[in-house]
Amino acid sequence: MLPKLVSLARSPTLPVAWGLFLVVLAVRLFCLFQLADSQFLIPQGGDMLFYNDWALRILHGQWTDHTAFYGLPLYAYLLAGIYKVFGFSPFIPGLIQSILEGGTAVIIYRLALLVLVARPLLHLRQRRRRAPAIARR
Amino acid sequence: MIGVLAAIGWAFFQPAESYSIILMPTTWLVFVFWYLVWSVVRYRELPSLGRLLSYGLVVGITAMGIATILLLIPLLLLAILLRWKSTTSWRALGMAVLLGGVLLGASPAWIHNYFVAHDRVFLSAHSGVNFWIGNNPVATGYPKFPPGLHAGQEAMLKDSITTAEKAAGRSLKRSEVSAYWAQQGTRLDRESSTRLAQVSRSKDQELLERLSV
Repeated sequence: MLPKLVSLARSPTLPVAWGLFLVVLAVRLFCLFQLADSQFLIPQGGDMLFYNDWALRILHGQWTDHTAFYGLPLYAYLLAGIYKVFGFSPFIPGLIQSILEGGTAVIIYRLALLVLVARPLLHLRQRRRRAPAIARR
Repeated sequence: MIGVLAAIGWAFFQPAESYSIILMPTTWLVFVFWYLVWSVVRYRELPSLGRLLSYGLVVGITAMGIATILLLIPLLLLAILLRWKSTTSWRALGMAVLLGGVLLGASPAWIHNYFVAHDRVFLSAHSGVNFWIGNNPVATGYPKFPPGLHAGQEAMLKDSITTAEKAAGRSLKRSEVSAYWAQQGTRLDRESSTRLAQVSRSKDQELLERLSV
C-alpha cells in the first residue's frame, strides 16, 4: 500500500531528519531550562493554571464533578497521569512537548520533501515513460 | 533544502517555542495536525480500513484536548473522495469507518457527559461562552473578556455559570449555560444589524492596527 512517493522521499533523508529533530529539541530544551530557572514554571494564572488545578483535582481522586465537562478534559487527565508517574512538576510535560516539537519539525521536513521533491520527480518519470509510447504512435 | 529551511523555521518560530514549554495542549494538536496532513499527502491509494479507523481515533481523542482538530475531518473526507484512488463502495466504507473512529475516539467525553452527568454534550459545554466572548458588544476579535466575566479561565467559567443561573433563576445544566451564552451572542446579531456592523468594524480596525504594527 505504501506508494513509490514515500520511498522516493525516505531513504537518504534519515540522518537529516534526525539532525532536524535534535536541533529543534535542543532549541526547545534551551527555552525550557530557562523557564525552569525562573519563577514562572509553576502556573500562576490563565489557561495553564486552569489545566494544572484540574489535573491536581483528578490526581487527588476527584475524577468528575458529575456535570458535563466545561472545558476540554483530555489535557487535564493527561497532566494528571504524568504527575502520577513522575511526580508534580510542570517540567516533565514541557519535556514531552519539546520532544513532540522535534517530531513536528521532522513531519514538516518530510511533508516538504513529498510535495516539493518526490511528487515532481514522480510526475517527471511518468511523463518520460509516456513519451516513447506517444512517439511510437 | 526547502524542507530543511521549513523545519529550521519551525525551530525558531516563537509561538511554537512558547506553547511547547507551558501547560497547554497546543503542541499536541500541532503534532497530530501535521501528522494527519502528511498522511493525506503520502498516500495515493485509499489506505486500509484499519488505518482509516486509526486516523478517526486520533482525531476523536485529540478533539477531547483541542476541538480545532475536528476541522481536519472535511480534509480527510475530501482525500477519500477525491485524492485517494479506490472504488466508490470502498470510499463510502472508508468514510463511515473514519467517522466511526472519531466518535469512538471521543467516546470518553460524550459517555461521561451523557451517562455520568446526564447532559447532552458531545465534548464540552463551554462553546456558548466562547461564542459570547467573540460576539459581544465590546468584542475586538482578540481575546478580551467582556464586562461581567473575570479574566482567567477558571474565574471566567465560574462567572459564566453563576451569571446564567442568576438570569434563569435556577440551577442550570452545563448545556443550558452554554445555550444561554450562545443566545446572548446571537441576540446581538438579530437585534441590531448596526451594532453587529459596529462590532465587526471594530474587530477589523483592531486587526488592521495590529497588522500595521
